[in-house]
Amino acid sequence: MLVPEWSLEVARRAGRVMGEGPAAVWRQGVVVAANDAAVEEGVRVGQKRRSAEAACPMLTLAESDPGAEAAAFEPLVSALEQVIPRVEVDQPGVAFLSAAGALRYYGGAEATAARVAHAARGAGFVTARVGVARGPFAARAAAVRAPAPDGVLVVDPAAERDFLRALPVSSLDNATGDTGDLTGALHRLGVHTLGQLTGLPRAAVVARFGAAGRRAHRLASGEDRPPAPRVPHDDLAVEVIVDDPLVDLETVAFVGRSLAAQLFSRLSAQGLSAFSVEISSGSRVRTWRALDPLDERAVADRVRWQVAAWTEAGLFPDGLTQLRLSPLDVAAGGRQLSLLADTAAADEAARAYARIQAALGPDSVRRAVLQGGRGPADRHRWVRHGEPDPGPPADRPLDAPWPGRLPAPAPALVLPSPVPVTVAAGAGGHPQRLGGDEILEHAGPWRTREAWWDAHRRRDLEWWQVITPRDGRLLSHSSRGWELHAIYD
Amino acid sequence: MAPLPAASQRERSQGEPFRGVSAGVMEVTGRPGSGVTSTLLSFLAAPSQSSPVAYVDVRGAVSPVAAMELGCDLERVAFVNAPEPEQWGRAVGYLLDGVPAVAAEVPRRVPAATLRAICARARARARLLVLAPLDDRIPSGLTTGHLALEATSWSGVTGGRGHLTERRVRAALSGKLARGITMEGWLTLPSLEWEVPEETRVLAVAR
Repeated sequence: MLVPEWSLEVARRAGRVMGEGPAAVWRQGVVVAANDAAVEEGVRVGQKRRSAEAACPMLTLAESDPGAEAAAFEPLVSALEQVIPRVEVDQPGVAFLSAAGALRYYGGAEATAARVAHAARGAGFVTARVGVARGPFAARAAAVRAPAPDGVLVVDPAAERDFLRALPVSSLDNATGDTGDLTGALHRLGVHTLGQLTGLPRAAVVARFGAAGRRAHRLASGEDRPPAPRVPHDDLAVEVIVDDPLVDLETVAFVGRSLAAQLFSRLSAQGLSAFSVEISSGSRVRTWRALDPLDERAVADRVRWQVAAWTEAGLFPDGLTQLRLSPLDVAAGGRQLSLLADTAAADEAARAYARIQAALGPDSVRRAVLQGGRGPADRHRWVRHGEPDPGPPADRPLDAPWPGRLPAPAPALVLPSPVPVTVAAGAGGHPQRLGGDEILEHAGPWRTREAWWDAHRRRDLEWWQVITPRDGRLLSHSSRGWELHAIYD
Repeated sequence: MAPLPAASQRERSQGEPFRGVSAGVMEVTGRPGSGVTSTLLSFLAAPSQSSPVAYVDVRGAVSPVAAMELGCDLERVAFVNAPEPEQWGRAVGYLLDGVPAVAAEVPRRVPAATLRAICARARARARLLVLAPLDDRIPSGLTTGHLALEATSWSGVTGGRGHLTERRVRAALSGKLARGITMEGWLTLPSLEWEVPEETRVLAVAR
């Protein structure tokens, strides 16, 4: 069951997208949803944000908010559970239902699908579409193609292979984990449908495209992994019970990250991976699944989204006192690793970082991302470990020329804020003494003008490198006087 | 073979005591501006090419741009902020459980017992731990080597022209890495190449 362009719908409800013009939603620099008007202009799901903007200059872009999307999707999942228990959420906007028992109970696939569609409309999701097939990939493709007004498409098991063969290779998007390059390369090679793909020897596809190619070939051949909710593996489940209720979403998110780290420590110790995980708190239970084995970060994200959804629905007004993660659909062996990627080391490090964040706070572990700028403090931004990079601010593109930028090497110590210093300048304005120290050598000035477009923020700066008998320093001179910015330590 | 110039003979390379060092505990000391931060980042450069590394930033002032210029792969560097002694001990302890190479500024008033436990954990896990205490020295016997940075010599600026380019750091290396003596020499960053005067080298061999 899917709600088309769910990210876009949530953005529209939040007022981040307005009007009927071309609009799209992006996440981590990639377009994840686009309306028909945008598609007509050449915008595609999976396209880089900049390419989308280049294809359609009038495009309205909104950033995806997975927490809000999960929260808004929760009423639909609850409604579906009234029809078929154990709904598995793939991502906000897409849910899988294991319908084997329900088909017998409701009297066939069409009747079951109609029940599901009716429940969705009853919950206010009038655009929801239902696809019925033997596997999640085919079911999702069927839902995408479900015709109006019923929004239901049932794929006969006997005809499923033909149905798959007729699908375009772009339907592999979101299914193979590495779709952008794969589907683009397939098109360039003249492979436009899944039928053409299955006509190629699997070994040749794997040799050319690796794990993504193998998965694509399997999906195209109908060898999909059915949704198979199982009894939770209690010996692998992890749980936290607290005396003081967790009321703050950020706190819960970090508890969730710590739990995810414990869960994957147990799974990896037994060489297992999980395709779905059950998140529960008190009497509330929700299952999240994925087409690829979940990793630690994916589970932590889903905990955050789910708790946000429960909180938004007012289900835990006094906060959470218990949180439990149970792996479902566990399989031996995880994802195939590339030869050079030391994923085990990265996972070990991620667990260490998660423990530090749980102990010292979310800002205690950060990574740095470079961005454009001139001064020593402008050329990077900090991103909390475990959180996506929001991307550079609009006025800090990395690939802009930045005239006046200080040459390398960058000073190793950058003061959190500039410190006023006393400098005796010579006749030409160059610095001669810094406090009580003689300046042995100096270089500069590098002149920059900050915020020239804003009369209040505008400031002309001169940067100077100076060498004293003790060290090398970076000074600035402006209307605020001389300031120490950094030390070449 | 043509004879080497006199200066080069005197300062012939003693080798690279830090090459291939992937485990052990190093101590780097020096006042601000002597090159301690750059030296710490230089120790992370090689391991960051293949595995996660961490820099424990007590002062909240380390520059990621400098880290990148010194050869660190920023994708694999975590910057951990732990200014209080108790936080610092926990953070470094956790890091040594999961990260192969850690460079850490050491805040003031970290108990000696904490330092002993941290160094023991680094040795037990075969990690590379580079410590830069902000005040007192690390208690003796805990480290594989001690690098005391004395002064930085910059080149590239003359008479108000040019800009800072290269540096060499005058330093003294002691401990096991220096075979038990104190060797004074020059350290080049970020390559961590080590040059000592000939007479010091002879003394080291004699010992």
